[in-house]
Amino acid sequence: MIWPENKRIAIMMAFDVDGETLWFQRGDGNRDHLTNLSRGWYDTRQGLPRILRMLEEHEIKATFFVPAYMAETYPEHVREIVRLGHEIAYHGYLHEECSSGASEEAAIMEKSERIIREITGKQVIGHRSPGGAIQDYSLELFLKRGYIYSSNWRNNDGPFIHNIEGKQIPLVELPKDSIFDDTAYDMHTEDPPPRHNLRSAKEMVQVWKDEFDALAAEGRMINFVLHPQFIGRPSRVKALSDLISYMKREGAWFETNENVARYVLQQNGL
Amino acid sequence: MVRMKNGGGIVWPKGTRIAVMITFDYDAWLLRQSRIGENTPLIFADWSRGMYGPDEGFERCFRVLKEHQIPATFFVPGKIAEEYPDHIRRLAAAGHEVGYHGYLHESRKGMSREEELECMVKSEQILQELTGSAPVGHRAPFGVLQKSSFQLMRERGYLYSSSMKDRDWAYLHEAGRPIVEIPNEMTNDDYTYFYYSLVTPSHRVAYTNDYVLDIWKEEFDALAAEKDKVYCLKLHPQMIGRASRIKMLGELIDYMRFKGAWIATCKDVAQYVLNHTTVGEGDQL
Repeated sequence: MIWPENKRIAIMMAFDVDGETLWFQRGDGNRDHLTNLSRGWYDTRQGLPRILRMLEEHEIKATFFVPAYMAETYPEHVREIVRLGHEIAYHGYLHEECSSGASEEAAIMEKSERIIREITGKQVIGHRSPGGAIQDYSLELFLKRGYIYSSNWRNNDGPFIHNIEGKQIPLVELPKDSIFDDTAYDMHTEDPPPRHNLRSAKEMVQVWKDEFDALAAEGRMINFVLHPQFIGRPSRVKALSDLISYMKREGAWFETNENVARYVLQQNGL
Repeated sequence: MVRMKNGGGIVWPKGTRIAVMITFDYDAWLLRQSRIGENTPLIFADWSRGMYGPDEGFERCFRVLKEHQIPATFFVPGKIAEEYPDHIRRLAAAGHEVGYHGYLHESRKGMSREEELECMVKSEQILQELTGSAPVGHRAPFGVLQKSSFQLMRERGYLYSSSMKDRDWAYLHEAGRPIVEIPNEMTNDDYTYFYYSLVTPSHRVAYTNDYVLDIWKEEFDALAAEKDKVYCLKLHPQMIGRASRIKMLGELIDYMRFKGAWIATCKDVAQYVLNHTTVGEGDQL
């Protein structure tokens, strides 16, 4: 891939604003576990404001994958994200993993898209599945609903064009994986299913920096999967900010998922 | 400019940059007992590990605080206070605060109001007899707040709660009156790094002291830079009380003091926050 302006690598800073919905989907749902829910609330009350300030300092536009329940509950946060020039994209209604069929998922998408559209005035065009679940009908569904990109596949370090039955479709994949997901390093919980082995902010960004260097040399891309409720802690935002400065110096092209997808489509004559 | 609140905007006393609270959950074997269930027998290894708290860790914690001349807050289940009355008397005499932490470290979700009230009445009385005053601070065992917890805290004259994890600043649940919330978080909890048990539910992690100290310093630095935050370190004598770890805690205390921390009890910080805050930011509590 040849990136614009002689940039060496495309970097998408992308945040999953799951908030309390992440806790709704764990264990027994945590509806009566106030302090677990309060960890989810950290997302909108502390993590997000801190991250938005950091992004503003760097003059970088990012993508925010927002479950529609979160948009419904915190419309002013969504409006603020949009006002600052960032992208809002699809991430389920309640961060639910869909497995019961195309029509059920289409209904959830319809409802969630409408909720977000009523707040932002704009149709979402990017999809990141809650929990990473993809079904055999997913591509058809994305295409039918006018999405131009998906960020779900994990098999590649570069963007690619999806196809259905051997025929290219105007849908770009912007892959991601757990290596670029902060929860692999910074999510700790005792409650089932437990997540132990918390890593320092330093170690977390060192993994990313090493991978960045090698991918930049190959002219590839990184699509991050960051959760403000965990990476929003002050020391982690600082470490992320330092990493962004480094990537800038080293020739990264920072763009939203939407704009990278549009660029890839255009390069492919689609 | 981002139009989103990032902090409480409080100005800490005497030019300090951050309010730091060194807190100890003095649970001993009850930590594990309540984790596996009140009616499940505790195996010897887990019981004995918990006893490291009172038998070894407590003295080291007490001493490091004395050496650095700083006040701390101990959240002590009523049962532990009954078993170690002398420890509690010494804490009070040395100017440390003793707060509520259940009677048997009860952390079952859905406890009835009556049951919780009973735990509070019993434990408050034990603590009052030993320290001379009723506790004004509440920390939920294992972070499990009951539906009735805040209402009971209010009725019983508590000043603050220290269980929520939704912000890095201390806030009032309602404008103009207690309860003040002093949030804490897993990153700044020694349990995350130092608790080890092979028994279900297991917790098998190991860290060097330097690794953890580095995380805590970076959290402290980044919070202090924002000027209106609190740093609530949550420790357990049975974990931080190991010989080398207590030295690490001493280093952290020196570091924070040098970098402009106001190190105080939760009670003093909560009172300051109550006096200097006008808005209420709690949730349907």
